[in-house]
Amino acid sequence: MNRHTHSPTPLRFWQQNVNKSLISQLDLLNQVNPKAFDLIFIQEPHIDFLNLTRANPSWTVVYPSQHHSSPNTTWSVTLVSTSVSKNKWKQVHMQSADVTAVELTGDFGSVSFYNIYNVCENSDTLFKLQDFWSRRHPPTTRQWHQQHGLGGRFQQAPPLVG
Amino acid sequence: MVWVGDFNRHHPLWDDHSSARLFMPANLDAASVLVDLVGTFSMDMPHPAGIPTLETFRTGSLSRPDNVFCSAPLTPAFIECQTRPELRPARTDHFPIVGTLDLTPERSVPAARRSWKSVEWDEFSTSLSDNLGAIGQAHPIQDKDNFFAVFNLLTAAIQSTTDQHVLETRPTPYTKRWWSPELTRM
Repeated sequence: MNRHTHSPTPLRFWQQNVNKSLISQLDLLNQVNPKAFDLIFIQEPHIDFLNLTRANPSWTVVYPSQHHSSPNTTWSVTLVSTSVSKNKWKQVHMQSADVTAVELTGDFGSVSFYNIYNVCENSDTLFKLQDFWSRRHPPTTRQWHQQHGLGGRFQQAPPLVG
Repeated sequence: MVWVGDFNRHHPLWDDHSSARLFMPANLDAASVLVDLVGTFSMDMPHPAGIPTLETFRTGSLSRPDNVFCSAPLTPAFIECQTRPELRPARTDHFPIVGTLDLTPERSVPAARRSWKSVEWDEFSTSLSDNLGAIGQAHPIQDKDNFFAVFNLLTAAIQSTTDQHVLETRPTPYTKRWWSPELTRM
């Protein structure tokens, strides 16, 4: 049984595409201290002959919801540090092999993190996410989009070319 | 919400403007789906534009397929969101993106456990006998109140003996179940 405590440590994440390489993923696990980082978002994870990815006991692995029925198509895996109270996060299930999502709750409310791999050839994953988000996070400011023509605020974004 | 990932899309809104080769009409068309999504859900881009996240192995050219987006109200919570090329793991051409948010998730701390295997049992038994002796002579329990009174005395005697002789320990992640005091002495 674990006791839970509030720590002032801010939430930290590491985002990494490891090109399906075992060496790369092991190097990543070796570098990222689970006491300093809460989430690792991996794209193109290594999947071994047991249809599992690699992690160590300091991390809880979140696979795409359909991973165990079609493990060869998994392109996204999220690792959650065991230092985060298990009562305060949960997987957000979505029927895509390219997305893993977790929702953290706390004094700050709740925040969902989506770990996305979108293939070069098509935008199927993005369309799937659009449907999912429209149901789960209905946009409140569609008018804003219509007024501004393009996306949200792009930090330090230079003006459009052409 | 926060979107983190490898979107494999190129657009002047996030790629370096000098990478004109990336801004072919087909690429811009493909990126428009993502740009529309960002607008529809009023997302911000906390990772500054123009900073590459990929250095291809073959040509060494730089681009920005990876990205981070967050809901506009969450933007002030971002303390840091930056690429760390010096921390890139082996065998990948993608740079890590490290983000820090001013959110404090609840942490789990392993509860302390009793180290029963280090107990000196002779001393424990002697203390327990003394503590139980202090309760007084055993006598038949007559009613519910009497039962709980005796039960509490017995529990207190065992608990105080445990506190006296059994140390508390917090297991580390490096604990091995098969490690014994004999191995320590070797």
